[in-house]
Amino acid sequence: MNIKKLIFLIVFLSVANTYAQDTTYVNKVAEQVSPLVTLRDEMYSSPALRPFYRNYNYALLAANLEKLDKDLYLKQEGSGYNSFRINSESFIKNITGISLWGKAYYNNEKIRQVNFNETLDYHYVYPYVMADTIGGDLNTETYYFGGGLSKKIGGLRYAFQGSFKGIQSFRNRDPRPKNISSDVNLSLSVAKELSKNKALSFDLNLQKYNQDNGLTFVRELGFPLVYHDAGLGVYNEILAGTRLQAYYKGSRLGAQLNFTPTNLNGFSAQLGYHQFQLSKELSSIIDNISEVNEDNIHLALAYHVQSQKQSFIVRLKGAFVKRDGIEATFANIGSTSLYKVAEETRYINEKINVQLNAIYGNTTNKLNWFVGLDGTFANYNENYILPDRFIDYQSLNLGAFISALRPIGKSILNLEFKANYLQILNSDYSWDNVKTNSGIYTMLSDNYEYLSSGTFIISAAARADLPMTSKINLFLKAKATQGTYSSRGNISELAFTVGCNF
Amino acid sequence: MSFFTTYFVQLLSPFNKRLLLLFAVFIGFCNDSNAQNYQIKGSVESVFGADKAAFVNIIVKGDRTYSVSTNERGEYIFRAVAAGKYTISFSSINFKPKSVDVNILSDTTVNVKLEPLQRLLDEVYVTASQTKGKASTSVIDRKAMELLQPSSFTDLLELLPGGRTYTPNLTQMNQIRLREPANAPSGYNTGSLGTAFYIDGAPMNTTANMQTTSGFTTTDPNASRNSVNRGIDMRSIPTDQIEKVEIVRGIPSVEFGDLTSGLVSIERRKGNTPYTARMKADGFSKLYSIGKGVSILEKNLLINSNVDFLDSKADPRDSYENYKRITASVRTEKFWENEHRKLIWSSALDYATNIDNERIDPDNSYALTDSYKSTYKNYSLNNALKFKFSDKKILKSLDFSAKVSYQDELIDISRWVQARSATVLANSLEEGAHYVNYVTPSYTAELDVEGKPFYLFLKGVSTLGFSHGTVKHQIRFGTEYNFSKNFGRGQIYDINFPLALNSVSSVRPRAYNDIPALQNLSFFAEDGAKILAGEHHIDITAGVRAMAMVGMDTKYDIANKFLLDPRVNAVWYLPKATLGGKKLEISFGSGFGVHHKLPTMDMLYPNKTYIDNIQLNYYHNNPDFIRANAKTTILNTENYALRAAQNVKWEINGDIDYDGNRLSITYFRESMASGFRPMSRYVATTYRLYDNSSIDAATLTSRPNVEDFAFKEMKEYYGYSISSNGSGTFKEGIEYQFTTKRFSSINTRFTINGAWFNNRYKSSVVNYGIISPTVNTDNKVRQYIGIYDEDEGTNYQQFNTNLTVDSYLPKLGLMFSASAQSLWFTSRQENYKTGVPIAYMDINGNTLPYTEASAKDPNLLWLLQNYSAQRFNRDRIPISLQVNIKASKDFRNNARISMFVSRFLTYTPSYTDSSNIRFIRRGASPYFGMELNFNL
Amino acid sequence: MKNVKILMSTLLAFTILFNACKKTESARSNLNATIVVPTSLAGFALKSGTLTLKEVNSGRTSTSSAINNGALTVSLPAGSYNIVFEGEIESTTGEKVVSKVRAVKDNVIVNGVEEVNTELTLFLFKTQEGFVIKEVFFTGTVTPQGKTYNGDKYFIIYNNTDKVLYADSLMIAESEFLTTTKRAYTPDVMSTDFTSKSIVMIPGTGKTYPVQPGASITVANNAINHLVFNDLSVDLRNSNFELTLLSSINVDNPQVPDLDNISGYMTMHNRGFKSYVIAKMKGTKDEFLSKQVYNFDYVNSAGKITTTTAYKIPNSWVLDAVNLSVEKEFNWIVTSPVLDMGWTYCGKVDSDATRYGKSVIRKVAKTEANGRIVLQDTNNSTDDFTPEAKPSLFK
Repeated sequence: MNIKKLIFLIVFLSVANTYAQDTTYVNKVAEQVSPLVTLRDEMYSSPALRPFYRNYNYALLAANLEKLDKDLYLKQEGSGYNSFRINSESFIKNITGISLWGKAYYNNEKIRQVNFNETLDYHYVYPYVMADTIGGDLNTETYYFGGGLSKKIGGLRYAFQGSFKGIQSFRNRDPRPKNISSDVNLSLSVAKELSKNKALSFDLNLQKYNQDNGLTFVRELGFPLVYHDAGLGVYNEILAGTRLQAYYKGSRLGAQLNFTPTNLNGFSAQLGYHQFQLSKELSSIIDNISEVNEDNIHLALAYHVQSQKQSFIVRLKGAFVKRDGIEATFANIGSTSLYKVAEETRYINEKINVQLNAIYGNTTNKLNWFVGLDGTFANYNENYILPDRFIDYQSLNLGAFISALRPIGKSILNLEFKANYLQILNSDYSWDNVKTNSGIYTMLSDNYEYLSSGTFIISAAARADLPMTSKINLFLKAKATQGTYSSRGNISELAFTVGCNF
Repeated sequence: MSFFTTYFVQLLSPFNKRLLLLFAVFIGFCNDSNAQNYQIKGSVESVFGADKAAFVNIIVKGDRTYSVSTNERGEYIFRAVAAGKYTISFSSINFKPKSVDVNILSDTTVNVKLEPLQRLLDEVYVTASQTKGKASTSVIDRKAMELLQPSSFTDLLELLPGGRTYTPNLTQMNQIRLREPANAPSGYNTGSLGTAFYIDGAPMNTTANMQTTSGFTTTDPNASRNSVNRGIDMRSIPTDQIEKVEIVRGIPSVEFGDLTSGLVSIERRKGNTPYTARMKADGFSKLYSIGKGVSILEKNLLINSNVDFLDSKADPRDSYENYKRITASVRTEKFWENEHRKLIWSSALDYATNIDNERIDPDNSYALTDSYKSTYKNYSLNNALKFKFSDKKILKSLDFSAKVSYQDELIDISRWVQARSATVLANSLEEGAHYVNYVTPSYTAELDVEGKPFYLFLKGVSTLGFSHGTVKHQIRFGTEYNFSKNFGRGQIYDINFPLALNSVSSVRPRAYNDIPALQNLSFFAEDGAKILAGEHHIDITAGVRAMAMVGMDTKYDIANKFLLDPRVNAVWYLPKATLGGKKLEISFGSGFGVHHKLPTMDMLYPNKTYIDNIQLNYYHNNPDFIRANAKTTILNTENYALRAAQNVKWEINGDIDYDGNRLSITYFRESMASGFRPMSRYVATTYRLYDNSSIDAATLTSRPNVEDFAFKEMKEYYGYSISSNGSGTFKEGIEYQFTTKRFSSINTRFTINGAWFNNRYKSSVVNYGIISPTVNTDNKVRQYIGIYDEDEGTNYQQFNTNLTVDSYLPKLGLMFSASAQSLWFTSRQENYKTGVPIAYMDINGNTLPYTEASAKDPNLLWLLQNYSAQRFNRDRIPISLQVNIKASKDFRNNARISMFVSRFLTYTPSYTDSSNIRFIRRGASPYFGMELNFNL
Repeated sequence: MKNVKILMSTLLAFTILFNACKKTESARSNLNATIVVPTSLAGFALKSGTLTLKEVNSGRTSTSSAINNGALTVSLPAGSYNIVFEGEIESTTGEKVVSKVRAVKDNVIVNGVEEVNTELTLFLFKTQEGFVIKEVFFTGTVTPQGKTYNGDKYFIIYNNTDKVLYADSLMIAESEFLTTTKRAYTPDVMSTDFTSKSIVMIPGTGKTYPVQPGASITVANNAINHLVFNDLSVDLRNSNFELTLLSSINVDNPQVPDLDNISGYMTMHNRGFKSYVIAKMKGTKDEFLSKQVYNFDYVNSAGKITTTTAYKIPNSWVLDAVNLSVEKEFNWIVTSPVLDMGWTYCGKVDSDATRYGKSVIRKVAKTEANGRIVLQDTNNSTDDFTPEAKPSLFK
């Protein structure tokens, strides 16, 4: 991390947050650190319902340092990262007037050991990444700014939310990718308040995603093979070589229906569907070399209670994601572009997640405490056709936590402990048509080992809030996570945050 | 921030003493305050901060009444006010009036903030505004720059008609190309060389810039930064201290000379400003700037100073190629006045360092010796004296200015040179045959290019004004003198260890300080007449400028001859009318002008070309018997017939303003047939080719000499280039701008501007061509020269429209603009060429006609340039649309956050080119960043 | 506990449900390849053979030997196929004579929907005896400082017969076309001629340069001791011949005879994108330069038609050919498949950093009783050459 940048951004973002609100200090902090609120917030993600999602306005500025290390990992995503982030958020609610919220952050990350992937935003573009066998650490810089506003006009609440996220990633040793992605999100939302503190809203979500993925080498002697992965280590031999510039163009269209109480008490539900389409183009080929179609459907049902003394939430959430990869085959007929012969769906990835969460909280003057349990069943299936390869697994994840918040003088101390156990119920794979001495075989085996490995993870976090002036409080947070994989190796994470609440 | 302080301190240390001296001088001025009275002073500004309230009437009412107006920076002073209670009232057409009660018992400062009226907001332009009554002139002011968030002057050009937002390219020379399409070809540099840049009234001269390494290295790391004969490198001009820029694309006043294509006049900030600090970050550059202005009203003195620092990389992937810019300046203005005259003395001391750095990447080689560093340090002192006389006199004012500037320039290249095989090293500085050695197999080569240009500028102008009937004249006479000399030692290296191997035609080192100074003297006279003809109103500005290179060797045609630049601009204002109760103003303008640009030092005194023919290359197995011999031919490349480049422009313009909505359209034509350009020439050199087999290698007992060998007389053509007037640029186009007034409900203005350019670029002289030296003709190479007389021109077109929507919401401190920039098309079409020479030259210099029989001759057929018909098709690149957003938010007037995303959204459809075969895919990745400003 | 069991079994049921994968089959269509016996082979009939199909996107290969009425039918997934047929023909009349034949066809497009018909025309395949290209060292070397060095490239030509052959008038020619850039050149003469602009020839009157059976001649770029300039190079002072290069990079060893430049200079492509042939000049050099001019045009990468001129060497003059390419950039073979139907390489990708100091060397077929080595020449460089070999002259 560059000191210049750091200073620049601290100053920069500190100015972004000069709002100050008068609220009950402890309650405000309690709301911000409550695990129950964090879970509940998801049920209020609709922009038109945003004014109801919390009781207290807030504005915060924080700097965060984080280090993650994993012994098992997806080769394409790297073994962990060191990140530095400056984050600024604000939320001003005005139930009758305009509610406004905004967020800006800058994130500087060094992702370690990214291999078989020279493309940014793996979760958007997979499996169609540009790859070589060398890889290495990757630097990324993210600039994000976004915000929204909601206003009641007549009997309806209208809201608009927009954001821009620009990421630039690069490596200054060979191989040298320079990837720039832009991710523009727009949401339009309308809500109708029903009788008895209930509201129904409908959101329309639009996303436009673009990435320019370029790779260069400066060695005058030459460079390794660059290929375009098509999933599970398969790649098209015609396209392999020195095609170093790719473009990704994606768009998402989604809709979500939300039903929530406006007083945070009661039953809420969310049903969402979105479709994501992405195409990959190479600079000199007329046709797209591959396309992705993803359908995503999710349903969440929750019941939550928030009273002076007690609070409770139980939530059931299910999600189904199906991702199809369509690939083109080409012929070289001697013209400047390759001729497209045919296209076929060759890659299919299906994911099912069913999650159940429950949290109970108890509030007294001396102590707030929470206990929570969660369980997740996941089914994962990844297939490639011709040559036939697959990976699938089913897993069950069980977690529990306890957290407590206690005012000590004017300060507030918050502690949290968590444990998570992931059991792989069943897993299988096949890629018998890969040479066992090849880099791709090793990549597939390592990825499978990661995917089919259970984990046991525990974490502990402590946060202290110290009032500085009547309007500003300083907070410090430390979090440590330690875990082991069932097959081999460990996972560890350390994070420190220092920030101000206004 | 320590790094910054360090820079600041380093920067100022050499100046410390001089600075202190300067300040000391000022503080000593006029200490004549009146003991009985007190002064009231202060500044007036908008409640929203940055807008200074100029020309606000201030009345101090009490026992006595005083009145004064604020100056253009919103400052005022009452020098002597008797003690007592007063009411100070402020009034202006732009602000709501305000009154303040004060009790004056001592010197008092009263700063007020006024609430602006809508009409003031109307005056805020975040785009370039077209100056009324001055055709083809755009003005860009601070407000526009705040939103634009520029890294250098280059970024401002997007606001001109035909302009577009581009990602800054700070590791290359940034050339200005007014009225040229985006796809204009490279190599046509007279336009940028002929665009004059003035800062605070003094020109930036580049005549003696000779920093080139061209020809000295195989791959020239300096090539992309080379600004020799290309004019001003705009990335070296920071924008933070710019108050206002005026860019004249049309016909400038004859007061400005030695230009062909345009005039950029930069006015820097003056007067009281708080400490301003700016920090900009984007993906590859970081910029920091600090400035402060002091206005000592009692002493009629303004002092401004600033420092800025820019650090940028070409590509974040490459940490080894970067560009750094540090600039600092101290500027003062002091005036003395009485009722008859006013004397203004302004002075500016400037310092700048520009460093281009490039090192070899560790990935690229085992030997990390390769590096490139180019440093430009600039020191300049500018002084101007202005005498203003009473309105009653015919002589209105006298202006004198003088600028001295000195640059310390150094290019330093180190490179690991590896011979690819046994290579003969020909490096003689003298003509003739001589024995030569083979190159050392590998070594580190070093090249320094030292340039020390020195420039002097002197100018005097008198302005006279009088009325004659309904005609009001303003006549200006002036003279200007420019002196340019380079005191540098030029290219310095060990000729036994050159950077470049294997070239037959090459250059050798030479010192710049041997080159005589260039002097340029000019005179001008101009009348600006305002004619009232009833309701009509006509402004005519007509003048002539005479310019000559003086004190020059008369072997040059150009020496001591005066060139005349007559220029006329006229505007006819129709009577003011109303339509539907709204004001309607219509005017038409037209202009004609001749412009000349004199050649630079590098064009008049180019380096010699050396041709080294290897006569003997005898690489015997016994190292003692190895022998090589070469013959060097030296060519003088000075062109005594070189003339000044001449550009003739004319344009017509219409301007309609209806209720504050304004449309301005200009049609222009420019014709510059004598632009500068290197032209190829061929010379037949003779040498002896010794036959290695003519002596028996096996029985050799000693090292052979050339006399021992049989030889063949060889004669071959070699090319070299001279500077000539062979470049033609012919421009035609329409520039338009439509600006709405600011719609009050949302405070939003719409601006549509754009241009259609139809330019032709050509080589306007006969061309020579040689058969590729890989082809054997008559069992030899380089035997024939083709002479082609074809219209080499290529036509380039562009049509674009930019729609900018900007909202200025001072109450929320918010400025927002979105611009949709559509480049409807660009196109390129080469004039038809037959590819058949009209004649050819054989090796004995005989020029013979090229006939049909020649085309069948096995040797001469190689002179045919086989062009396919398709080459002359029109290449048209279809629409490219981009949407950029920029926003800035003020926080309590003390801080401002701005952010920008260029190419937020794009529409750049892929297309197949004119051949219908090649498919072109266009990516358009966004360019984004953030910026923070403080005013403390 | 019971609940846990129920949960687990439910999950397992899910698992099985999801695991019943709905694998879709790839669409296939039929390819009918008709084997055509050309009129030049009249009187012969196809006896047997194998069709090998390689899909170029996936690298999948399939084979078929089921000849039915002189045709083969294969069911294939969509793709672009390179087809090679190798077989035997038999005379239909008189004494039964069996000859080896081949047929080649590239880029046969199967789109998975319609049936595709293609014709494969047979050509006789026999190994020629005479001079063969034994080794091509075209990559140059790297210095200890990591810089490229290239005066040390060479060719080795070998007498593969049991007779004395004369090297006089033997041409070495480099292809004008790149094996990595496939273009439609008009007119297309590849089936009859080899196109070149870099041609050098061994001088001599006809009997000046005898080459003994099993002996070879070395043609060096610069026949000097390169170890003086680069520790990682080779001493080429003992070469038989030397090339004359562009004057700026040329160096002449007076003790090694120079080749005659017929056209251009032999600057060998160091990434190995060009192919080489050796051929015997028929007639004089001047006749060649006037009669064998080849004017052709093609669409360049900028989409423009380029018209250019080179020379054509009739395939009948060609004694041996070797195509060079790199795997990831290979597009086509720039000789007639009759001369060479495969290719060899140094470096697997464009600008492969590992290629320097490697050459391609012809494999040994057998060693005769007298110790004479016979090199393998099946007119398929893929089989005949050892790629990325250590150059034979290097210590």
